Amino acid sequence: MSLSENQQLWQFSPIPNIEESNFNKYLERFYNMGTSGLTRENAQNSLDGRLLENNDPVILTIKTGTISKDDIPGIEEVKNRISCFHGRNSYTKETIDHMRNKMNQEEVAYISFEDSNTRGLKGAKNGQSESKEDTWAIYAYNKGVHSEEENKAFENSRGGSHGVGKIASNAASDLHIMYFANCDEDGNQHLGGTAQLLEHKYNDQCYRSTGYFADLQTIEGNKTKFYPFENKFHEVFQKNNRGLKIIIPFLREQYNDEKEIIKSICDSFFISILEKKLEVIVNDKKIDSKTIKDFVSNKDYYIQDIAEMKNEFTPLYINTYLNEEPVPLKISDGINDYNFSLYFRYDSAIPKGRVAIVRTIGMKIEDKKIKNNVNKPFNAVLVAGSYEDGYLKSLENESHTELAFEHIKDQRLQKNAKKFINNLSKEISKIIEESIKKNNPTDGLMNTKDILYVVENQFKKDLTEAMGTVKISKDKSIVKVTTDAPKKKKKNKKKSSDNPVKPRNPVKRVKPKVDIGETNGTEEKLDKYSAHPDIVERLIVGDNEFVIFDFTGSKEISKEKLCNISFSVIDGMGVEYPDEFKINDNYSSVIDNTTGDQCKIENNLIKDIEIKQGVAQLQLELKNNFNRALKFVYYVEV
Amino acid sequence: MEIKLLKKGYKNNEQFYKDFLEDQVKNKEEYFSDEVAFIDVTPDFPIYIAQGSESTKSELFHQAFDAISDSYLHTNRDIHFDELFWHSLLAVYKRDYLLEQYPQINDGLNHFNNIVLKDFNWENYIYKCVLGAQYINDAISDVSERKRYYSLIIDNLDVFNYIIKYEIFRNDKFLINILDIIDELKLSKVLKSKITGRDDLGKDERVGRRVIFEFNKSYPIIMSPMLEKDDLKELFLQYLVYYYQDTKQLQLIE
Amino acid sequence: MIYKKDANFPYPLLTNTSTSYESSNFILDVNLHENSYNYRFEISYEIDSQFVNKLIENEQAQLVLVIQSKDNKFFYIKPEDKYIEIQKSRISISNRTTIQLHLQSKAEINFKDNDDLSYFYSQFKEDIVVLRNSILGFSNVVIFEGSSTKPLELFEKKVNPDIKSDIKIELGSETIIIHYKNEQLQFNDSPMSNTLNNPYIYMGLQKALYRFIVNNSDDGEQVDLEQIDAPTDNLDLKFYNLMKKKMINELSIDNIDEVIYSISDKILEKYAGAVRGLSLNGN
Repeated sequence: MSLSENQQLWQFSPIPNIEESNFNKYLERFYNMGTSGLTRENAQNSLDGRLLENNDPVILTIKTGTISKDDIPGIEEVKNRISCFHGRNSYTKETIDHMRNKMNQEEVAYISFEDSNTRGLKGAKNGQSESKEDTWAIYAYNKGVHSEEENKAFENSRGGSHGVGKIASNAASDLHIMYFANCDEDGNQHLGGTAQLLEHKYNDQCYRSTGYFADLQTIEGNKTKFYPFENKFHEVFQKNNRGLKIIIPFLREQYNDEKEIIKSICDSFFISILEKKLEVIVNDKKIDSKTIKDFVSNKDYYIQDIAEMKNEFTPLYINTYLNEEPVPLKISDGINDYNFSLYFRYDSAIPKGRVAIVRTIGMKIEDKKIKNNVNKPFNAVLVAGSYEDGYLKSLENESHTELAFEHIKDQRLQKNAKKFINNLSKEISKIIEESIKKNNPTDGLMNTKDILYVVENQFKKDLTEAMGTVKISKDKSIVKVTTDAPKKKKKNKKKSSDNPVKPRNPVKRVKPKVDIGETNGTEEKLDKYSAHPDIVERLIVGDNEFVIFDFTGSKEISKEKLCNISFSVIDGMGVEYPDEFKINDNYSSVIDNTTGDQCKIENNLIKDIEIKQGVAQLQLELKNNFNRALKFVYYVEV
Repeated sequence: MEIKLLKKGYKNNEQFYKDFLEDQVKNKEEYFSDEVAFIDVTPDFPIYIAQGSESTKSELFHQAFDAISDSYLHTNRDIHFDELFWHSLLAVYKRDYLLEQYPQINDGLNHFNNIVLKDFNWENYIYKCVLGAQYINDAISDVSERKRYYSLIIDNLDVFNYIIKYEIFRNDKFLINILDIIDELKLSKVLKSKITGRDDLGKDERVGRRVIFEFNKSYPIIMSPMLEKDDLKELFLQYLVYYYQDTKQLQLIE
Repeated sequence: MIYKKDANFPYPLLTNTSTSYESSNFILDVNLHENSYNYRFEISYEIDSQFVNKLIENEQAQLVLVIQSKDNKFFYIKPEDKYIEIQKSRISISNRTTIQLHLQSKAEINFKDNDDLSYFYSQFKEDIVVLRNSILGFSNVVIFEGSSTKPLELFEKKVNPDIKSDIKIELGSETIIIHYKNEQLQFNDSPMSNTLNNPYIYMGLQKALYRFIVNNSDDGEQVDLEQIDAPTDNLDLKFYNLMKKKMINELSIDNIDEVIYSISDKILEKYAGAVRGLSLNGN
């Protein structure tokens, strides 16, 4: 079939009059889904078209670029049709204005989705065909119908079940047009296309809104049939190896976003990619099982701080899927049980808990929120088996973005679907609760993910450093503590000024004992302090004992003129005996070495010792029965 | 045999006491931890030696020393020096013997606490005997010599109590040296005597206790537990003079 | 017997805490091993004073290893001795075992050649004579605490619907136990649960430190951490170690909050941050 000069390339079916004055309602829905809707639909279709006989990954090549308007086949026909539209409401008018505004560009932006390792469409040569096997005819000329695979398992895992996916491509074009280039098993190359316009009057004839890029041939009298054109068009429209290529000219500006395209591939198909069922090349960037992590862990594409992952969860999903062991999960719809694998991760840093519902084919249907658990610290991936895929598919809404039951017409099936969706939430929330409990045990000792873990861990670190444990045998652990050994190590060798230890107070106030009945008020109450052994020097030489007190470090005592001193004996276990040692029984004389005067002893107390420049000195003469092995701590009264 | 060990909470527990009297303790799982101690034999011996004449008490002490030496001392200290082991053994496995020997246990929880569940420290008779038997057995191999030392402990129980009361003197060499010094110098009576003329020390202060206390105060300047007997004797006499000035007696010693 | 208490002795002693020697280090380290029959204590020590080291070399002084558990064992240590072994039937380490090295004079020792003394004692060194069988110095103490079953845990929590308050803080034998009347009080459904529990931690620390003061002070108001022995109560011992590690010298009713701030890691600041975060997120 060859193209003649004035051949009509776009076919619109004549209708008696205009009934519908609006655009196809799916256009707006897909338009609202933006880049991700477009990418998902096309990638899903490519996966559906995968070769059944081998396991090579489907390769989807996405290109964006510009093309001269002259290279877009039949574009003038489309423009002519648009020129004669009449908007009958403000929304339609606005859209028409937009189309007319954009249709006269010379350089036109486009996007193309080309797959390989796929089957492509079959039976293009047969044109519009009644045969179920002629997938070209179904794809090219029947909107809202998709061909059912003869292989049931395969059918179940197919993505698009509503047959409206193609419109996603129309929605991405300012002029609502899209082309598809097919190369079949035998190397036959054809180009088709659709335009989703308005019902319109053209040359005094009313036409349907849908236009087909096809040749109209008359067969058997007045019966006509669409046939595709052999593909001899511009290279952007060429498809040279087996598979299908979608070309969308007049790509809307907001769709022309490479980063968004890459992200929506990662978001929806991470499992297909990780499982090596799909590779996607976006212009010069390749996303496969090896490189996907590079994109997902790149802060230009995704937020990397777990605590901030509140809208996009792909980095978490991938982590969960790769690192967690799946647990089987059985969910009933009241009649049948469906088996899933759940990859579940608990991490207290996760701010929003979501479950990715993913079908075997690998497209994520939904970031499912589980009732009452949307803010729980977990992340999960629920993967369906082949049998479950079919069921999940029936629950998907038309834009594959949610599991729902409202769209199901059959009352009984709708009830089951509702039950299934509820049970799904229930089963997953059980797992969430269990894991939160497990990770936050409400009883017992702290473990690593405990609610007290952070605090406890710090104490543990300090305790380990301070004590150190010795594992002596299997069940015996001994704590080792070394007291005050290293403290002095550097003290004298290096006078360090950075030593944070505050100088200790050399004396310490002793709380007076309340003597009941004994105080007669005549004697002045004195303050009593214990003198730290560091400020006391004591030495026995011959029959004399010298004791020197250095109070210069004490602001309480150094400024005093006189003090009283008492003794406490310390026994071999460090116990102090305040009344054990009797001064009069042990010393024959006590001399204040500052003045040379004999000191008075009263109530086992050496009285009125002079403090000179903060220092007090005593010389005591030992009696015969003095136990020279004794040690003391001293008390000072001022 | 296997001794099931009690779980914390049995002390000062009315119900436990009741169950002991009614022979129910062994049937109640809730009293036991999962832990057990192993010991070959557990012969009966006097565990409470507070009553009777001096000769009766002496006889009971000898029985206790012998039983402990023969059957208990060879176990690890984690067993024979463990309060929980002894309380478990007594309350669970020795009920009949104890009620027969010490019928006053029936009279009230305080008797039960004081006899059966007595804290395992220097005031506990088992503790005294375990420590005494261990020190004597480790230092003395001759059986009749051991008996002689047991007798010395029994005859000088007041000093012995003070020695084991202070942790620093819980040492075999020190105990045996002190017992030898007392024996050689025939000081048993002197050490038991009350101190006179020192009202500041309290009414019932004994010479022996003060001598031991003087050693305590002198530690560690004087490392008495490590001293040879003669060095220790010199100090012993020095300290004795602080509290006992009966020159006639002391001349006898010198 | 172990001796630790700082006091004024009748002549200069070499210890880690006294000021009698110019540079007084007497450091002991012990490692514990066991086989079926014995415990083996591997020892190493370091003495700073040349004078003292020479006394050991000349056998005028003798090192004595003191091992105290239920009772005392003394071992004369020669400089070349690396370890001592004790039969398991004669020592129990299931409770506390304390180990110290003492130095005992074997003869009368004149200090006239002792150039290591501090200024005060140097003036008298010609006259200082230490009698035979007297102590010349003692080392730090190494403690093996065997009764601890949870040596590194400080907190436990329990849900106990029977308590008569929402939260009850119990000071257990080794840990602080926070009893919650119900699980909700643990905030276990919140991603910030670990920080939201910090006020309970604070309460627990306060209570435990208060009891530490009661247990370890004479007057019930303040504890001089340099003066007291390592507490025998296992929970107190943990706090003792934590405070020593943070170089806290004194614990008193007045400085409990400062001590908590030092030994813990900004627990209230983190709590405040978490609450602020939650209220901003409208969670």
